[in-house]
Amino acid sequence: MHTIDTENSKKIRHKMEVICGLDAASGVTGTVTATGAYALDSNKIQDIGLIPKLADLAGDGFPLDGSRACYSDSPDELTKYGYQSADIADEDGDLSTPLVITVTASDLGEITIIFEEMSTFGFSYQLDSGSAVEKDVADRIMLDCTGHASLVITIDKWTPGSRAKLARIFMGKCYQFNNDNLVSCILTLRAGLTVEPTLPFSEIEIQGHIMNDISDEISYIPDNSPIWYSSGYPGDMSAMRKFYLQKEIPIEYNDKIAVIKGYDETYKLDSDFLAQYVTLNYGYSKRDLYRLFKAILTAAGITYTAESEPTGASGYADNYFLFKDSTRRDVIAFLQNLIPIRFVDAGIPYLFHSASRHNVWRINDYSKVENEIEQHINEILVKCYSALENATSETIETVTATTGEFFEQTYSDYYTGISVTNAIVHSVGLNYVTFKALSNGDCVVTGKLIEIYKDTDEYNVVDDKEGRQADFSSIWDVDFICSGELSYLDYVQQLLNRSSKKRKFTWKGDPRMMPFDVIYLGTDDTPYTIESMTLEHSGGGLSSQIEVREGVI
Amino acid sequence: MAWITPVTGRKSDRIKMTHDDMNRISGNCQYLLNALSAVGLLGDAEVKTSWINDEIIYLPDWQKIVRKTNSIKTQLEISTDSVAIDFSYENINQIETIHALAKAVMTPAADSFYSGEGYSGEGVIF
Repeated sequence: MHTIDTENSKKIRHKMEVICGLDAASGVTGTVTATGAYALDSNKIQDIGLIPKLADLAGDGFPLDGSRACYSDSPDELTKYGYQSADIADEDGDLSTPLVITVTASDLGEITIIFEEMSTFGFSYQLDSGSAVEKDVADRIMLDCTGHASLVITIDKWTPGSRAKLARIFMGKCYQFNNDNLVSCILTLRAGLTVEPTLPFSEIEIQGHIMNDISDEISYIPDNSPIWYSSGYPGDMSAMRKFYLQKEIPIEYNDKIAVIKGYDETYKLDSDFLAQYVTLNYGYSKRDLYRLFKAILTAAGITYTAESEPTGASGYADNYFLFKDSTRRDVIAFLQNLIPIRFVDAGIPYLFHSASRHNVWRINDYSKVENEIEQHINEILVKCYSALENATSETIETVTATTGEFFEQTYSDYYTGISVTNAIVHSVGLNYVTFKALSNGDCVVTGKLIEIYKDTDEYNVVDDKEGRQADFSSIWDVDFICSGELSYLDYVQQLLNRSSKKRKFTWKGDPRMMPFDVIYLGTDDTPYTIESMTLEHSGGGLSSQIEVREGVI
Repeated sequence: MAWITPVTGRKSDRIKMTHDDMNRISGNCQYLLNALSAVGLLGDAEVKTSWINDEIIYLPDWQKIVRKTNSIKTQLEISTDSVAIDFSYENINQIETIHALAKAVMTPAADSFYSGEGYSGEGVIF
């Protein structure tokens, strides 16, 4: 039983701990060495980054949440392990070989050290040749090392039966807030649950006291600096949510109160998606589209965890899809209507496809319930298109060039295998090519045309209620949606059944809740899916406004 | 290598992986490798089977267990998806499911096995 659950069951629960803040990288690059460490990370301290933990069997093992990495002698990402002691603390908490980490730079400036696992034992640090200072372990600890060239962190005791772990050393300042200096922290977490989904931003706003004037520092805080949040009770804090500072919304600082706002990583999806011609097998269509989904998120620079990919079935044929130029946001939204894939960020980016991944909540003590009905969608029109490359190449165009002349050509049609004679190709896609002519004369651009033609069949899925039509005009190939493993029309029928009934209510709130989680209200056995929620820490308490849509989505 | 009934019903990512789980998974994998090797369906292979509770899982060791599990699946024509190396509870369930299915495939020929050794490959029904 979690402490938060125990407290939630009370009429009046104890005040939650809140920890939130902003990591502002200093730009200083230091070097780091360690002794007594199991896995040594790079000798160059990275300023921003997540550090997954290792698959460590010490103690009672590690959670199977997909976040753990194996230890490798030559890791791909040198910073991903942080520091873990080679030894396990004995029953008295002693490490036979202490974990000692040394950071050096000409002037270290401010350094933040981050522990993700707590220990009742402290650690010590030493600046240059000064005396050692004892300190308690906490989530984030900022050390003012300005004017010093060396910092030595020593951990010689830790929780019995486990390894000492230091998740991250951050070269910069961490503006940290907790119940002592926080005025308010408001999170607005959103998901798109309509039949025509968008991917709305989630956001955070922190207001907190900072007594030392930071007016001069604000303009040096880098764009995209991480803003983080967690709350709960000692020993049972919620997972850390991460948002990012945007240059369009700078930090405000007045009367010793800082206002910090940020968005989740979905803002990165507002970037170009270049046309792709992909092969999908009928039997593995869900899996392959899931992979495409993952590739788009990765290409956008979003770091996320994902459920294992969908299964498939062998023995089916290939088919071909053309995804035209678009934005990554639009393609992701389209895919969410093509197959039951769900992407939610809200500070904890996660990709999943099975309904069982929802957290389920039954809550009482809610109030101010408002009902809202959207216009019902009673008809979904699916227009089908086929896309297939021609068997032979054709001349797309011929340009007359002088030696070294550079060309950037774009085309209204789409081609595979674009190539150019008498030229060095710099970049090429389905509908563009850039190249430099090798000599005076003609450069001939050729490629296999991808022909797109509308199928005569249309699928018009309707129910017997009044409403409006949703038009899915960007689905390709009749056979694909009707046969194979995708069962697309079954899914369209599910979309049609998606409820237009919404409810809004207030509740005391739980920092672990996510959009797409399922809620039962009181003794009512009707499930609702969270579409958006606001968590507000202010005045020493937590409250939430939750908006749900009927049904499990 | 003794067979231990696989655990396939994990339902939460809060479930933890312990050294006992690693010993069962790797031990069952080795059991199946031995059985298939004895009848000539796979070559000799060994995976790490003794895990203690102060270890961090080393990538080549885990990759080998995953790779051999996929080989067993392919060799016995078990119609499930291949497994990956990630430590999600679904993937670990899938690994142990493959082990359980592989053992079930071999069970009809149980009388052909003695102490995990096959009798010259005779009588094994796949």
